[in-house]
Amino acid sequence: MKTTFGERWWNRSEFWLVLANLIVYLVVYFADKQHNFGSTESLMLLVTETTMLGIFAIGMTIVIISGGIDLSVGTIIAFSSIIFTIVVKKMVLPALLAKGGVGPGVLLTATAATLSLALVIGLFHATLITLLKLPPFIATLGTLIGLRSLARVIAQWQFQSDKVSVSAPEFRALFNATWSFTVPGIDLPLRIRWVPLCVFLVVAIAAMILMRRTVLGRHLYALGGNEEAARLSGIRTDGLKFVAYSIGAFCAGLAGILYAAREGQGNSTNLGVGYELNAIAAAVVGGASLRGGAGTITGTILGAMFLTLVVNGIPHLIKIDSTLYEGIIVGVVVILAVAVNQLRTRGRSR
Amino acid sequence: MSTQSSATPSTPIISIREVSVEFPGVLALDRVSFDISAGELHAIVGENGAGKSTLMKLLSGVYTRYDGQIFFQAEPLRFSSTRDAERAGVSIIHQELNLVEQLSVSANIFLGRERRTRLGMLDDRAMNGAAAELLAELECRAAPTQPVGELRVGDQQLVEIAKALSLRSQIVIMDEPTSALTETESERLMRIIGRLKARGVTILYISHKMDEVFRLADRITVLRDGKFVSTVLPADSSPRSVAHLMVGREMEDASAFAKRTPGKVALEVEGLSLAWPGHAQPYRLKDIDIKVHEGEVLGIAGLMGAGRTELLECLYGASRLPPTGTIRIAGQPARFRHPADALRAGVALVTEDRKRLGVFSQLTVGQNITMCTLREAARLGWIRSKAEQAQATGIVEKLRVRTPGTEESITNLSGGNQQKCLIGRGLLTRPKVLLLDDPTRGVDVGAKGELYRLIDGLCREGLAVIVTSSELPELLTLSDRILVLCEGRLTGEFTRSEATEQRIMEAATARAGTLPRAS
Repeated sequence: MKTTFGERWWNRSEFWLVLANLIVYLVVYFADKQHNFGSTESLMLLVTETTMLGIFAIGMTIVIISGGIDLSVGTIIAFSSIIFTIVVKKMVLPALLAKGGVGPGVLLTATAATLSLALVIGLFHATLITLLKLPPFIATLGTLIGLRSLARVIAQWQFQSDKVSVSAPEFRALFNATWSFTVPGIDLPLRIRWVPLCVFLVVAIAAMILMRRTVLGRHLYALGGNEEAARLSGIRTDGLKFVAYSIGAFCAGLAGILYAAREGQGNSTNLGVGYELNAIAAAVVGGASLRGGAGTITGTILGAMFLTLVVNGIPHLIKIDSTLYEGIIVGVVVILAVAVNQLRTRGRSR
Repeated sequence: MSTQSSATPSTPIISIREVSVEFPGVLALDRVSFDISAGELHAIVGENGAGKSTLMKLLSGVYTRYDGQIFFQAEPLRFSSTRDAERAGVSIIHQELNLVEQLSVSANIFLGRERRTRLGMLDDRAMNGAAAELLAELECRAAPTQPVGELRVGDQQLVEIAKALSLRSQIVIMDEPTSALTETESERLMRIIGRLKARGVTILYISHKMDEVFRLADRITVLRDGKFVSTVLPADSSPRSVAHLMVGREMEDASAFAKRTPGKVALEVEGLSLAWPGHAQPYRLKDIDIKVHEGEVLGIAGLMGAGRTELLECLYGASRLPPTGTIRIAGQPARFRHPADALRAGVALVTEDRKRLGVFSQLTVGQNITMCTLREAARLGWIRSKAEQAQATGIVEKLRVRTPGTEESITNLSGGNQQKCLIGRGLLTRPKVLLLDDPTRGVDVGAKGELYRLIDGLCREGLAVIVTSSELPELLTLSDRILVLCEGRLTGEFTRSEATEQRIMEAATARAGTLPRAS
């Protein structure tokens, strides 16, 4: 939406992000002697991690475009993983849990319950922000701190543990189910974890349509760009905030369900720690402005891909103690990416 | 008061010579020259935009770019910051006070010049003691340790004056100091000004309240459109003649806009009041009655802070507090809680501060135009691009917005063309009443005429228009009737044939209630 008629395709930040992604990929691919970065496994990991980050980064982007911020994303992921696993365990007799008792009905019910609670959290944020006029940073900071503890309390109360494990294969399949295929002309067999990919695609397409083609989306850009002007244009700005924060929390809830399936457990203590910052980084690398009003879903997806490529590429370049340097490299790269984008667009329409 | 001191102008403490200041598109000061004598109270008067505040900001080092020269005690001086000015003995008490509300009174007085103990720590005891002395001298009952934010505006102003005193300023500039004060606070300020004069402090006093100016000033300088008009002695002059000097401008040809025939009543307001909690003046608007007819332009005149913008906000459901009184649109009672309600009832507002309250700088021309009416171009929330495009191009063509296309970024347009987009945004809602808050602010002269003709055309199509302006000639050109606001009350109503700049100015500078309603 930010793109204007006069802007050429090479002026769009999306073009430069695609280029940056390609460069990072090719550099890692050719620098790594074993060419592991192009293996079936490696590609599956890249796609999965991009989609997982993408799901909640898209929610974050919508909040950021509307002029807010949601610091609670990582905590909502942990909270949702606990709620999801608890509901599954409560619905299935313990004796059946290990062997085939988790049917689609159970998973759907648990999903519905988890996502409803995530929505409630989003509505709670919006209530604090609109009724009590709390700054979004503070409202969601409260949840960032408090909700993880609440997840722990619930897990302890129900199962006397910080973690709630479900090892049923149907449950794990929610994340792990793969689909193998070959593309004509390429020898390499390809494999993808199709559930997270499909969830991501649905979220991404819905978000793109919302932000580009609907009145609601336009109003979200307007709210983030100039809240007072939006109000004076007859836009119900408070209602829009409810929409934005609900979407943010909903996306985090979706991610929490998938992470629970990946881990085979709900985890109240160390799942999702700091993920809100990854989401913010993806959005900002993708061209979103923390002042609101600017940003695109496509940009955020490319930003998520960029971050995943960098993080996953590091062990291919630094064979010893790569995690030691990971933070430094990611930090520098994020700042560089945003700085380059700023310099490129300086002097043009903001 | 004492005109003798200035009858024989002693050595000028400040000489302003051929000073010009140019802002993009505006000549804020145009070769202004005059002298200010030591120890006098020199009042500077003029309409909004006459250049008073610009001149004061030059003298106090807020603005540093100007042509010409300013002499302080015959020395040519050029301040590069407010610090420089303070060092040279010039202090300014701004209209919007420059205090840090969270800090204490004494911390504000000594801000940037904090006294220290021998160990380099803040010497609060010394500062509080000194502050207490200054405050006592100013009849201010605030405690030095009290946070400034807790004080009333009148006391906050005294803190600024205390700061000026602690700097031992030779020259104190006061920019409309009584605009936010109660009667008793104003009286106290008058006494303090008297005491400052007795100490030999030179005071530059900006005001548009004629009673104050004539009571206090030794000499009065009139500015108009950035130019020096004249310096007069109060004894040889009268409030009436000074008001005349302030406005004496050539009017634009208004005949083209006359002879409109108003129709039915479109909007009727009775007893509208808007509270102003925590202020010396407890209301922003008081007992306002208005009637506007279809095909009529009603002008609202008034000085800054008279309540023009607040009035329009009330009519549009945009005020922070709900107003009391009744509003009727085409005979139907209306109570707007949100601008959306007003738009639905047929009232549209084009805001005064285009950049802050109107334009979405990250969106395109088209997106800006269709912001209020996007739902009409959508089906089930889905924007139909063609319908949106039709709305946007319709406005661009009708209002002759000069833009390469509707996809252009709005910030690439000139002020006048941005304003047309915003008027278009309002027009798309098919309003019965269009509220225009200072529509030509920041618009160049050529575009102004175009906007006038546009407003006239809309009016002839049967739209009721309420327009405010800080420029009187503009109101006189546009309006069939003019209401004058002063401190939240209506102090005058003039038809086109009755209205003159001078009569309006007199009504706008009258203390509320002191002038009978004309007409």
